[in-house]
Amino acid sequence: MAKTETFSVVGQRVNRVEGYDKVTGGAKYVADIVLPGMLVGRILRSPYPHAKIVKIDTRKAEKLRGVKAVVTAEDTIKQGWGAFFPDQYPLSVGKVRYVGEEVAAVAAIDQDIAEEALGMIDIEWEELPAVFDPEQAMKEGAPLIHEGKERNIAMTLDVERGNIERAFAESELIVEDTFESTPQWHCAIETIGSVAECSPSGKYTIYMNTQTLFMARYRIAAALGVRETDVRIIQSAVGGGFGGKSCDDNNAIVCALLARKSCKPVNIINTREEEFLAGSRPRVNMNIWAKMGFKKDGRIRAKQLRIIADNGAYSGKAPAIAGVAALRHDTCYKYSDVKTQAYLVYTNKIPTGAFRGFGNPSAEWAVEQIMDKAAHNLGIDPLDLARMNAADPGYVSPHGNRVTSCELRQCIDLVEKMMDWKGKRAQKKPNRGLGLACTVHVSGKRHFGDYDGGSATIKVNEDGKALILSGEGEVGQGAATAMCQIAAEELGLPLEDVEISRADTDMTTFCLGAFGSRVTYVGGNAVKDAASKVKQQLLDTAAEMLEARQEDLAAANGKIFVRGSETRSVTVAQLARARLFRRGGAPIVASGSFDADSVLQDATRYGNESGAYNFGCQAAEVEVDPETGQVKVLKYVAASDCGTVINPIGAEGQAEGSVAQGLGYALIEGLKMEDGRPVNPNFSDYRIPSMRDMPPLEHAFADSYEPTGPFGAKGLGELGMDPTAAVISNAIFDAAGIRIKTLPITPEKVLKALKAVSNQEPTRKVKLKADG
Amino acid sequence: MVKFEYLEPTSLKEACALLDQHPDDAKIIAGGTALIIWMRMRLLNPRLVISLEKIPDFNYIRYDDKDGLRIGAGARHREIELAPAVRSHYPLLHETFRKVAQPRIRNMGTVGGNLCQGDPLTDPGASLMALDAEVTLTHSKGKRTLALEKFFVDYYQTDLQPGEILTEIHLPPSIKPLGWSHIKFTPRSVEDFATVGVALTLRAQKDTCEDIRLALNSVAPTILRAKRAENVLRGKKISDGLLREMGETAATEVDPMDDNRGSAEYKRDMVKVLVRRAAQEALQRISLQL
Repeated sequence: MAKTETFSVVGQRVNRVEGYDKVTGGAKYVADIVLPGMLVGRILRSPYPHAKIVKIDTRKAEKLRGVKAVVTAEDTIKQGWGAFFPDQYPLSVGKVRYVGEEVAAVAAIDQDIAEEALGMIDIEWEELPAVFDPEQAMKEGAPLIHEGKERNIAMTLDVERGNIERAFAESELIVEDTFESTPQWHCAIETIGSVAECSPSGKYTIYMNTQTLFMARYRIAAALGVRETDVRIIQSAVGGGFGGKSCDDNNAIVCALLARKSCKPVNIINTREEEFLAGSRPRVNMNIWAKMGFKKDGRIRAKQLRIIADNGAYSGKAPAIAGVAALRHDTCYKYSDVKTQAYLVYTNKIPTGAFRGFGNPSAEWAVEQIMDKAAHNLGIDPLDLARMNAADPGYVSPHGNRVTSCELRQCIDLVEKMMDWKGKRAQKKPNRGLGLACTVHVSGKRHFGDYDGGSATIKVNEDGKALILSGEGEVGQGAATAMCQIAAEELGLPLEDVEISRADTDMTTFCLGAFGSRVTYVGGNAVKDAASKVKQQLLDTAAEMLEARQEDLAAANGKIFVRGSETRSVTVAQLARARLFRRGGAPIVASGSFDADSVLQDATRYGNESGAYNFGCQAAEVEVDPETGQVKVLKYVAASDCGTVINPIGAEGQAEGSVAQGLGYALIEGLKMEDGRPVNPNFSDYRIPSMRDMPPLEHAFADSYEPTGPFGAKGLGELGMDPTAAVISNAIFDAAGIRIKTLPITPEKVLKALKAVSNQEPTRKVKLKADG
Repeated sequence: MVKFEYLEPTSLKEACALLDQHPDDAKIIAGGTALIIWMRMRLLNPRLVISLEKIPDFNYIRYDDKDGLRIGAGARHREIELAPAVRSHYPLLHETFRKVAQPRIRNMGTVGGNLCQGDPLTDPGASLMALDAEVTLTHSKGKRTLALEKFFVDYYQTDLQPGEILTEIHLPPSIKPLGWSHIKFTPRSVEDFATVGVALTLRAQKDTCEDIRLALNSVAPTILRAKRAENVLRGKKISDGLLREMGETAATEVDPMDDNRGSAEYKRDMVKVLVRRAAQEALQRISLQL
């Protein structure tokens, strides 16, 4: 429910605080950073999916004129590193496990020489049998990718709540099916890159386009075998993250190794091909068998999942991603009895990792299609089925997620209206159909040593401008602007009087960074806390200067004034100077922090994982060409419950961008591999939707207020991409009576399914019955 | 990209002379939208790159009622797309060039460069063929002209001989009324290469097809004329059944490959459908409804 509260800066449609520099070309992306004497680093990558390194000889490369350093595993501490399992190395130790893996690297005075030198590194290989399919990899006798990981299983999860057997026995309709997703890449406009230097005393400074600075520092220090303080990470402008820049790859570590060995600054900027091969870690691909039981009236009675997740060669964040796929959706609808099993399996392919949605899009691709099938089988409008089962404020999921604010029903209502759902359903046209799906996401997640928090510092300069020091980072998502708005609102300053620093691990306090839709909610709360402390200092000083009681004072428009006699006022600049330039003076500065009221999941994965949950509903109207199988999205509508919208322009961008990425996932994307080698690692062969491919899109925000959020806000960034693939598939079913169960939904698959239906099924009704 | 020398001759003569002097290690560059990619991928490593940028009047687009359309090989896709003569006399060309990639590419790439690359996935060749285009190939000792359909030899191979530069594209005068259609089937993204490309022109008297040209791209090692399919319709009384038969015949003339845009089988199926649809659209344009 919305809270009646009037804001002056929050909720305003404002331009990005960093926007002017970006649109004028002034922003410094990592490739724009040039340090004196900087060398170019290039990486030698494995040509084999699985092979032993018998011998590496770098002598010829080292002798090439212009080469300043060559590094191999011998220059590393040979300690594994990784977000959850320490299973990967900066440079291969003894063997390689995927095509593209980093084996050696060269720093030279220019790129040509560096690349020439790579060709002069002699490696004696012994090829090993490789395995690419997770189901094959789990079989006894499959090639073993990591010692000690039997049947290549990196992780298993097996959770049952309630009594699943009884729940299915009590169900009046049971629907089950198997769905396969697609390996999707982030395709950020800027590839991963780093510029590293190492001082003679051993301190590393790394400029990088990461979205998680402090987590990057933690992992890089571990991989280099130094203390965290020995590594300073400074964030450059970032050309898009989407999870792919959360430091699970080796780019920055190899760059640091080269900088140390050459005693010069070095940059390594991934080419687009490298970005596909071994840069941003793609979405964990999943095969999901889902079974759900329903009562006749449509209420969900039981749900069971079995997930086989393709980890790739190293784990990165995939263990957490598989967990989200297994459990998260149980917060969207009211569930009682659920069972879920997940297997995360190593294969000789590019390691997978974080990508907008974090396991949720794969799970919703399956579960939301089961919901749709159930609706058709029960003869209930899918919209009504969703509405009937939707979570409410106060709902506690079977895994302990406690829902505070929740406007899922309102989102469903908004979608119904924007799509003219009932009207269109009543007048169904041939080959046209409607589909919808609902979604839930978190606003941060507690899984880092029982911490789900953030911190920030705000200082007020002598001119009255406030500067936020935050290590969360801006990756193009608009976090910097939202934080400035939150601080301005709390301090009573106009937005132009608030600035935010670049994220820098030496200058800011610990922040987890941009992932898990957490920055506005968790980081924003920390900024708000810092701002309220700064405001207290302003009020203390103002009370002295105005000879007024603090409780009579208020802040607005850059001034502190006495309520009721507003001419008795003092500007923030005057206050800052007055507090500083006096005997015993001090600057106005305060640090704030926030730790969400979430609970670390126990060994059975029970626990309220986030401080707040965001919800959404989306629907599409599609037209299927019966002769070509092409699916045209005629109209797309989406509604999001993200609490208070801090900056509508930014939020709309997030929502629309999510849908675009979701449509890519649904209809066109996916890296194809042959024997572990990518066959389409470029933008000519791997297409993503362009601006001109987007259907007419209508979006609305639910009227909502999250009591624990900064001015009522919660997360948004990932929500919009989670349900999109299922929305499209459900609409295709409504249009043509076929259900595509593997992503992407290519016209070829659609045409094949249409032909199968027209050969087999005389009428649609029979198809429906067979479906159950 | 391997280092290379870059030269900018200021006349065609000079450019041809340079090509003669460097028969093995020189490449011509016009817009660079294809060559640069190949060089970056190290598929081509020329020691010498000869730019045609400084050759005067190399991008002309001239129309004459008797002579037809003459296009300088250096004309950019975008220039052809927007040329008033093209719009009014060859709407098929306007439509085709409008669909080439996106404006950033169209503002750089040239028609000559496009044809010389011999890439069967690109759009202009099929439409030019459907309009009976011929190309002029110039070398230091003279020049020759060739029907465009004979110019494409194989996958990325043309009839361009060492020392030759494609200098002009010529189309005969436009015929009115001319039924035409261009279908660029791009189910992944409008900015993708065509999964199947169809360019078709036809003339009809009452309900009889007088003449027809059907050219296809993305479905064989070269852009091709589907002549057997043309013959299904040429001189015949047009019927729904005949259009279907034409589509099916065209499908026997193509030799598509499996790739990211679809399987060979799917593309062949789409040739059947899209050729029929192209003919239907062309007939509608000259107000012949079946």
